[in-house]
Amino acid sequence: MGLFNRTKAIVEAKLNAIVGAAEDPRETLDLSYEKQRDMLQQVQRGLIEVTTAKRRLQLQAAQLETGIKAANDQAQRAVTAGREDLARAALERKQLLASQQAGLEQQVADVQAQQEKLTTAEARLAAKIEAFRNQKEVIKAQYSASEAQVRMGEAFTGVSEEMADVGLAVDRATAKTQEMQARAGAIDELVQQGALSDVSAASDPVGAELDRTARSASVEADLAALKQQVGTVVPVSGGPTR
Amino acid sequence: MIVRILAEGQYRLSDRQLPRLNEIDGRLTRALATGDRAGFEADFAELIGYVRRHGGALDTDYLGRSDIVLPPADSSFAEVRAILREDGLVPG
Repeated sequence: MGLFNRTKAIVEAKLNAIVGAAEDPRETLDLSYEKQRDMLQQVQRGLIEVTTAKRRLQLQAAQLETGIKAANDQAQRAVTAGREDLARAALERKQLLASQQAGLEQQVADVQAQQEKLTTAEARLAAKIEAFRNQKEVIKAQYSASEAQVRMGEAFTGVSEEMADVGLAVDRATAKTQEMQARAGAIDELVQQGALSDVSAASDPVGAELDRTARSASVEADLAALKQQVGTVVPVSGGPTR
Repeated sequence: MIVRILAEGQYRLSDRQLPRLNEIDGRLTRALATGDRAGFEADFAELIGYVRRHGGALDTDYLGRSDIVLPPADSSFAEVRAILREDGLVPG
């Protein structure tokens, strides 16, 4: 019972916030057209925000991929030049970028899901607004003013509940998108930095150190693999060997 | 009775199915209280699945108030717990 009542209470609070308590029911019904249009516009703005966020995330995924390849190339060159220190730094950066990339893919999927939800929400709301308009005409034509009032009240309840549902969906999609924008800012910084740095260190020093420890184990493994690949023979100065 | 799944749509169920919904809700609430994430996910999926399977989906142009409202199907443990924990909402 708890969850049903609480969820309904949230919907009703949203409904009241959108529609408001009106003195004259007739006024409410006319005002509701404006509010319905407003809600549709809100969904459309929400969709723009979510779509923009998705494009940004996709762009970042591409940038991370480029950065990973570049770091890998650097590591190979460093090993060939006998510079293990540089190779480690490059592989460390590669690991950092790769860990961001994994999280990003999930985020793109989440944003895609929000985009689909808002698109469906817009279509459903538009359908109910249309139905409300049609019903209003039919009822006005068929019933006395007082009877029409009652019947329209029921229809109005239905469309305002949908508006509340859609409003909550927009709020949720926007909140999730904003969370991502904050994270995206950190990734932009990471991508632009040429030098190695750990963006999470400031907010979570222990977590950062643990991540660093895990990464260095991976880095050593990568370095060993690269050295095998490149070969342990360091070119000697002097003539070519015959 | 009419059941709305937020961000999805409305379904018509028989009043006789309410006890079953309450039963699943009871398990779900206990899972939330004990921090049993896996249990919550299973119970919540069962609740949503039950409504979708046993409810007749209403047309999108249906205009009627819902008797029961459920959170969106993709709600997380944290989100549903927040719904339950919300301090009394001030009406109006």
